[in-house]
Amino acid sequence: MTECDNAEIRDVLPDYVAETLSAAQMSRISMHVAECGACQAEVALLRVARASRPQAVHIDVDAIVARLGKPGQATALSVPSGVRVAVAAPSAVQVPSMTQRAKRSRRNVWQFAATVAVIAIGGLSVVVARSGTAGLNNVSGLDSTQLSDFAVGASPLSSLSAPLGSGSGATAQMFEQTIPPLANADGATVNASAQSVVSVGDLSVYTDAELQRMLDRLDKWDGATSSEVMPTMPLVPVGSRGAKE
Amino acid sequence: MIEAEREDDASLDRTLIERWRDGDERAATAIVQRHAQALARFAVRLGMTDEVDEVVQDTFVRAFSALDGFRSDSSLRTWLFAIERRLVIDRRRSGARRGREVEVDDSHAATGYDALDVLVADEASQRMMLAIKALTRMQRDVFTLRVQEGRSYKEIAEILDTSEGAARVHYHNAMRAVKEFIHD
Repeated sequence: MTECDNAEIRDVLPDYVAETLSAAQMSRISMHVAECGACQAEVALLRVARASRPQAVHIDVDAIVARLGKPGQATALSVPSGVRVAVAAPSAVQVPSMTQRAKRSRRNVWQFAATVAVIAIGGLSVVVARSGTAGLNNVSGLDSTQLSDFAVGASPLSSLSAPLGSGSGATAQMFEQTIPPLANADGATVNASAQSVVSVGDLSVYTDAELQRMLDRLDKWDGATSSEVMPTMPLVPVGSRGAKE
Repeated sequence: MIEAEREDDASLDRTLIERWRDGDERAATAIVQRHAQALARFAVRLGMTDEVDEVVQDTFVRAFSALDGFRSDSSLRTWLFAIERRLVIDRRRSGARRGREVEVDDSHAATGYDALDVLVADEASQRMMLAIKALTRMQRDVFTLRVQEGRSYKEIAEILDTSEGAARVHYHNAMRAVKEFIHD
């Protein structure tokens, strides 16, 4: 279908059909349309399009007015985001709604707070993990002769026994209380604070005689006063055991 | 002149707004009566079916709550259209989030026409509605605002948050598409 070459005329044809142009403009367009087949067809089409607009939409005006409140009353609602509010002076400025800005700002604050919390928790985890590693490092930092005397067992307690040797901090004190000085396989007392690393081995590696001695010690402890701390695990210097075997 | 007529409309709206600000509640009724039908038609074209009345109400409530920010650089109706369009978009999005709508696409805008089919007996109008329905969302919005609501390109650009040049291009593309559909 052909189109009129006069873009200016075509631009205002919808206004011509709506009859919203001035009399002079209406007359000018009429003269053009009378001689232009393409514009005649377009005008016909525009009239149909205009006539086909939905008409029967019932709106309850009173209900709307009732929701508007009293003049001058501030309401909590605002213009939806993205709508431009025209401001007359000094120039047209696009002002987003204050409520929307406040909402955005509040959301940003929460996001920031959440980020800080995650970083703090992560940092704390790293510090805790590193302090555990430091404990292990203390073990590895022992004199090689001490390490040769005492083997580190497979029990998790073995790593915790390291602070006992350093005797530093609350952790060391705690373990000094829970793991008392015990007699070794030869009957000699193993001072946990002096000999920082002890063997907490698998019971299956002990001989029957050794196990019996441990049971005997437990039997003796059974009637002990509460001032004596119960031996929790058999603690035996490996060197002395190895010598026996 | 079209501009003069629009200026008269804008002037009347300004007067009504001032009266409302001064405490005249009847001015609000006059404003609603002047623009409610156009807003309802626009809501239908934007794809609203059951909640047209509600959307129009919300549009006025929003507009009146922010009326202090309106300085009539654009016409009140243009401003109301822009607010309504944003509300409809927000509803579509929240509807999609709730799973009420599977997705938001161009076909939604056509449902309003379907609901009104019975009101239009004329065959040419029916065909025109189908032609409009076949347009892209932007073309349809521009075409209906230009042809059925008589908005200028500048106003359309404000309502649809686009440029005047883009609105003009969309209109001419839409017109070309409608002609092809009708004469197929």
